[in-house]
Amino acid sequence: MRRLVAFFAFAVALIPRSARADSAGDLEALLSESVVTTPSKTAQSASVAPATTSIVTADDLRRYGIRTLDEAINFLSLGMVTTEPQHAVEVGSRGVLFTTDYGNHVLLLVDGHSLNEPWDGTAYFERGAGIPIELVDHIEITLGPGSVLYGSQAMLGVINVVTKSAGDYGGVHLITEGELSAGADRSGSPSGLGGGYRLGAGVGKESTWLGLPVSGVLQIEYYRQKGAPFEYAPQSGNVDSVTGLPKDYGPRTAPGTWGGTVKDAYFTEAPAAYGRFRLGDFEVLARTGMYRRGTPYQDSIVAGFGDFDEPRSFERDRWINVEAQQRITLSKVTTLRSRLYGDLNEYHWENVSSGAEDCPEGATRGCRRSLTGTGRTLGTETNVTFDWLSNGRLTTLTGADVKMRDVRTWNDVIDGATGAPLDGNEATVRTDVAFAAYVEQAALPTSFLSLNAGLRADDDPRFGGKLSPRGAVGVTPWSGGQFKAIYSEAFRAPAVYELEYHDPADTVTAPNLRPETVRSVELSFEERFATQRFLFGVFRTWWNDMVLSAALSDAEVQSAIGAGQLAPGATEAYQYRNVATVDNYGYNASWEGSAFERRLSFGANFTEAYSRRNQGDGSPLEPLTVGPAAFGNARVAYDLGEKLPTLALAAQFQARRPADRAFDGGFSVSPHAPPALLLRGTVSGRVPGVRGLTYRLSAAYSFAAQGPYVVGPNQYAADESTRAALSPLTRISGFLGFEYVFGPR
Amino acid sequence: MGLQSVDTARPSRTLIGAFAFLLATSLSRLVCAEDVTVPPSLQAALLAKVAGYDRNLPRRAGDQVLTLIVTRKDGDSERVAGQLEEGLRALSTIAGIPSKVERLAFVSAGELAMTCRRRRASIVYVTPSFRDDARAIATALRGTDVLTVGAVPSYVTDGTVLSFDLESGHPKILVHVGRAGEQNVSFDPNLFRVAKVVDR
Repeated sequence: MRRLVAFFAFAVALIPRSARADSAGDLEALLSESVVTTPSKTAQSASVAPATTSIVTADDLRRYGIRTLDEAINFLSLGMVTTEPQHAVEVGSRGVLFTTDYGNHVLLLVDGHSLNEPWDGTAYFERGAGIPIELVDHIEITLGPGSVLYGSQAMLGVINVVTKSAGDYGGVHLITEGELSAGADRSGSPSGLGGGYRLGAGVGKESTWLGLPVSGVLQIEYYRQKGAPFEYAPQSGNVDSVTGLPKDYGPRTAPGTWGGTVKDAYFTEAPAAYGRFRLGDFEVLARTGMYRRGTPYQDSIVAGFGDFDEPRSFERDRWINVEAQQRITLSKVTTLRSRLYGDLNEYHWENVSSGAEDCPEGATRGCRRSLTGTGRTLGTETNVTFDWLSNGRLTTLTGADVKMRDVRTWNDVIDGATGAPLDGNEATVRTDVAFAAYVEQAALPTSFLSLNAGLRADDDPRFGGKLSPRGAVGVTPWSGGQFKAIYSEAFRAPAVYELEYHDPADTVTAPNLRPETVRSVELSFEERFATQRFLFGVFRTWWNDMVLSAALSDAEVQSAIGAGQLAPGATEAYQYRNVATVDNYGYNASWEGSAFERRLSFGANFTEAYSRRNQGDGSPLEPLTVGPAAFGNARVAYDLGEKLPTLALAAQFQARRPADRAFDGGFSVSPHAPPALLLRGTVSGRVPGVRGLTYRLSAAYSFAAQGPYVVGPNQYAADESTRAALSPLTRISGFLGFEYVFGPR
Repeated sequence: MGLQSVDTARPSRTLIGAFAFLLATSLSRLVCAEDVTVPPSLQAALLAKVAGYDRNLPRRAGDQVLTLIVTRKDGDSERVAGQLEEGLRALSTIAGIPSKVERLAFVSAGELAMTCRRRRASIVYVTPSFRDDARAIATALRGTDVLTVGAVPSYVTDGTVLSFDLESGHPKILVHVGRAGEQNVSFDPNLFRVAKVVDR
């Protein structure tokens, strides 16, 4: 609570006098109102929307040197946070983060199109999002459960990236960007340099055809990064349980020892393209790309085994998304929106290991494993809005969504010495059709009261049926003030991977998994005056049926052997089960504003939460790992004028947090990541003398050297002397980028 | 290691049929509803504030600010008219002067201009579906003492003094200064600290 008092005292002290006494304050307050489409699938003022929503604008992205969605979340948003494990980031909200979930508790939309793929519900928030940042008009970040209109995945929140129209992205755009980052030695001190670059080209144009307006925007880009080099302290003395010899971690480290400097295994390659084309009321969105990356260490997420500094170990995603949509006004009361969508997704994982114990029997010189999951989705959604009084005071939204999914998976293992297949199969995992229907009723009975209630019913062969309600009450006691009370529920459908994955050695399928669920109650108050906006909210959430890989009892193992699900001789085995619950509550606060004719802009967000997980195995309640219980950000920027640059400084803070193996690693000292403070300074503006050419120059420094992930083969303590090694963080980084715009705008 | 094969797909003909129907519906209706980017309720609040920056409003309005909402027989036009009317009625005054709101069914630009002069309308709000008439309205109202406002952002370039658009999820004010001069609208320069001028 002291943090909260300090936050508000700081905020009030910094309110410029000009803002407090500004006679044009009411108009400025209206202009600072956000208009959001995510909470109710229709444009409405954020203050009356049935959810807590924050907006990140294109100006914010530019002036604070933001290049990816996760950076926008960390430096600019309220209530959400990501952690950086040197591969795909993990995202959490309001004190809840589920490590290893590949982002499948957050629904990620681009212009309303879901990017969570159908195999595992995965969504990426860094380069893997494949969203050219110059195309982004704004990002709507809606906190809390949102299944009432969106169905599965919308548990922690819904992020909707809204791209620019052709009118706002006119002309031809050429983009180039180069980056440098410092690696770290085993002590965490900066050491060695890595780099990357991005090249992009975009175009936006408006015209008419047969009397109809025609417009289109398209951007393609290519991003590549290698390094920086990180040094990992040797983890030695490891013996291969099959050969009895020191375990072989490949040619780049001594037998029995994992560690050294990673030079080649830390990389990213991400080409992407996104376009929107419109003819009259008919619009088509198309997105494609690839995201290939290498993780420089063994961990609990990507791989717990494999050779050290092996560039042939990687993950790769590829996708094609297409959507056609149309809005038709049927009458002054009725508006119909329909969309047709199709997605192709592929995930591919490869791992090279020279250790015999990591491979099937007989592969004494190692093996190469691969896993591929593909998903094809074809769906259509139609909704109808009834404005019963034709004045917006009593509206009903009702809709239905039906989609067909085909998900397949391949596992292959190849002998490291001969290249011969050792084990593997192809299986069509699932072809199914999911159906959902939803209704939302909104009412404005008086000028100071807004009511909203909604319900969605999902019928999904993966788990059966699920109802997701939401109710919200908004009260406006005075101009600029807004109280909200919201109750909402959400769920995550079991992933195909969780339902169907099995391994005769140690894993049985889980055909009876139920969806994970969350219920949330939140209260918030928002006050606007002139260009200032304050928000304070409290929340409580209850998470049930959370899926964990649980150990089978001896009797269950024997039963599974008898049923042919496990190989004879199996002694321990696991199955995904709905066993865990999470209890979470806390508060969040936000303050943002501007002064001096909007030249000075600033903002700060802070969240503190209590979260405890019950694993359902009789063990004591534990804090959630990896995600911080307290986190926030602050920013300030000043625009020096038309021909001068904008100077900006942004900071991100995460409190000390348990590492992923803090409670199950058996380490004598429970590993925790230290508090993290990341500062980023950015200078942006026009290049003098060259019309249409702009630049961004940015540098960042991390005061923390370690993140919340235990790295290397010692994921579990071998004895009392074993200390956990935590993932290193990039301490120093920077980039310089240029954008050149020419042609008719 | 492996995965089971499960096929729970119901016949997909229904889905494909729905696709075909919706695609045909979409392609057969390449009409263009005009985008109202800023919710009409927010437009009403903005309009009331911006009108207060018109230094000629008190003289023009006298003891009552009359706002005419121009509509035609069209779903979008009538719905936006209803929402804006609701928003303006809730305000009761504009720039401290009692406000009155009326709808006006559009006949022609000339008729609109005559009605404005006869009724001493202070503000004319043009609802969607007037893209083809916006220039004619501007021409007819040239010299008429009235603040015209477009529901659709592009109307400000085609024929009104004022309109509203969204930029990065926030409303912005668009002003056509030349047309303002032609219609005896004199904005306080302070407005241009927060408004975008489209004809400069």
